[in-house]
Amino acid sequence: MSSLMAFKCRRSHVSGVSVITIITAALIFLNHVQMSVHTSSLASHTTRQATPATVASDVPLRCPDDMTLNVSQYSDVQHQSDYVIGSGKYTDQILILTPISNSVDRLANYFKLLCSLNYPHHLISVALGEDTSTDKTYEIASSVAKRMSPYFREIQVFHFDEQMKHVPVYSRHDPNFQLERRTHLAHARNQLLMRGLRDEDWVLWVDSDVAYVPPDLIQHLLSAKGDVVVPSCMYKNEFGASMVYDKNTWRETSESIAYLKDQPPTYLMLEGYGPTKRQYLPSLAHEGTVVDIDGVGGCTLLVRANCHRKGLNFPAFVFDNHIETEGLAKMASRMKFSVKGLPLVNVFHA
Amino acid sequence: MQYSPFNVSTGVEMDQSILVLTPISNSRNFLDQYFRLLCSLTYPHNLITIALGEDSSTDGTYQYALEMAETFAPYFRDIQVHKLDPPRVAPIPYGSRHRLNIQQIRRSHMAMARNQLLLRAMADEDWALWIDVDMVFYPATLVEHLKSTHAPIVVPNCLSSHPTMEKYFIYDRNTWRETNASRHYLEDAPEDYLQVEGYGPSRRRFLAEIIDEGLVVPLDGVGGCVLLVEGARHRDGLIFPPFVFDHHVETEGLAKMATKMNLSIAGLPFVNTVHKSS
Repeated sequence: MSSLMAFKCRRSHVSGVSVITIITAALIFLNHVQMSVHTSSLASHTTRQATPATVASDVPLRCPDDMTLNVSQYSDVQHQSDYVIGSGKYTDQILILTPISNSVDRLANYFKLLCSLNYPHHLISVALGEDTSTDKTYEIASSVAKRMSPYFREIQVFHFDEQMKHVPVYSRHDPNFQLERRTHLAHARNQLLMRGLRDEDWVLWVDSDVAYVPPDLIQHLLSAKGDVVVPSCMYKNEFGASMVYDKNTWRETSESIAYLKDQPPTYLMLEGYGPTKRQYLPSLAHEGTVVDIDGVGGCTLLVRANCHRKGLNFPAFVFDNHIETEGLAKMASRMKFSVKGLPLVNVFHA
Repeated sequence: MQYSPFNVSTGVEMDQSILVLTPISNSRNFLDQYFRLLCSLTYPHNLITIALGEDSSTDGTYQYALEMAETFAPYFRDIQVHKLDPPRVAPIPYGSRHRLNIQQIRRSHMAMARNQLLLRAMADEDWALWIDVDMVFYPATLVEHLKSTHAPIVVPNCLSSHPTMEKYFIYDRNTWRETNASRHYLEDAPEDYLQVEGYGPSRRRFLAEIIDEGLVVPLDGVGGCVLLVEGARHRDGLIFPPFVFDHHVETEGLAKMATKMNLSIAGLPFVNTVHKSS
């Protein structure tokens, strides 16, 4: 009880107490290299959620050699650029968010993928959100994160308690599972967003089972200057041909709009189960490098952090006949945010 | 207003953390009273975190809030002051100037401020307690009253009084229950139609009028004077829609979104709080 007494307020009128603002400076030793620290902005006065320091870019952060991504399977994919990490006048902070669940086998490749990005690593923070795993995903993710954290601005791993039962991987594309599965995914994403986002400028959602992205993916996505931006998400079939994986990234057509007009508000429209009324992103390539779209998937999805802060998130219920990432695109258009697709930039799902 | 400090509700876990969230803007004159009220709460102060979110003030609210935070920090778990992005003033197209009335713009700004504050401040707290900065009274056992309902979303009465009259009237016109008439009316409304209360006669029943059903009553719309929301529900994605969602925005929109997420909304018609009269 004594601790409670200590928290009792002074029973007095509040007088204008002059306060000297104390700015504490911090020195961060990363990789045994002392780096200068930018003064963190006075934007938030908080003791609990201190934001990680931004380190100067004169010493680029480089992943160890054993974290090189094997790209042999994707050697036919055009590599647009191969700049040295740290070149270019980049200032935007990127937060990479990834929900994980029973992902032990994929974690190594996932971090190799992050290492392959040539956007300056000192501007990239990573947050993983684990829930409902039946294996050691959280423990292994934490240890990998600890090992890799010197090579990025920061890596955080969260565990979330979710009541939903885990949908087995082999049946996750069964249409009957979709409402439950994607509600669960929306919960997981929203929880991760709220815990992971700090002072970053952009949020990049990356699925844990993405196999390959171009090294300059972030630069490509930023160049679109949209509020929500996605590349084409493909997969390699057994003959090595690139096929459309992400059927959530589409543009409405007059046919699909007319169809939805007659549906009740609770109707959940799903893509990827039979013929579509929409145009998928890769089929819009003739319009240019940046095209307007109406639905987005979550393979790799860039969102302006301020849009998330203003309320844009992943609806965990049927919103405008859609849910989760497609629901986010619908919510973005309601909030007058732009939704852009890059049909000529390909990422590959496993 | 009668209130007994000994009338403490039972069955409330006193070990759950509370995050008090308050958007402020040109609120310098209210902050003294705001902190005095928070100090009056009987709920253990070591479980209470306070987060203020300031934007576009012209009276030095941010600096003063920092001073107040410094002064009162020893008496709570933590006090944070966040600087929020100022609202983006959207130009109104000439053709839709009648549809996009000032209420929609004002409340969508309010919703975005709340969402920003939520995203910046919320960590793993069990409950989010939204309190307006210009409240003049709430009972010391406010948190216990609200938590005793065990509902994910709870609101008390929010009243106000005219300075020259001693009579209290309903201030918060956003806390209501739908009626057959209101449901029927909205059935025929276009999707982007915004329903606002407090401008003429209402088809809804306001919380203070539902006094024949007991101490805890179900509701369909909530206001933001005092609003308790389970933290996990915010983290699942329950936010304040800054756009017209089911014909409502902001706090009422949150209630509509909660209904979509199968969450119940409880009102306490016999717990009174008082808002500054406008």
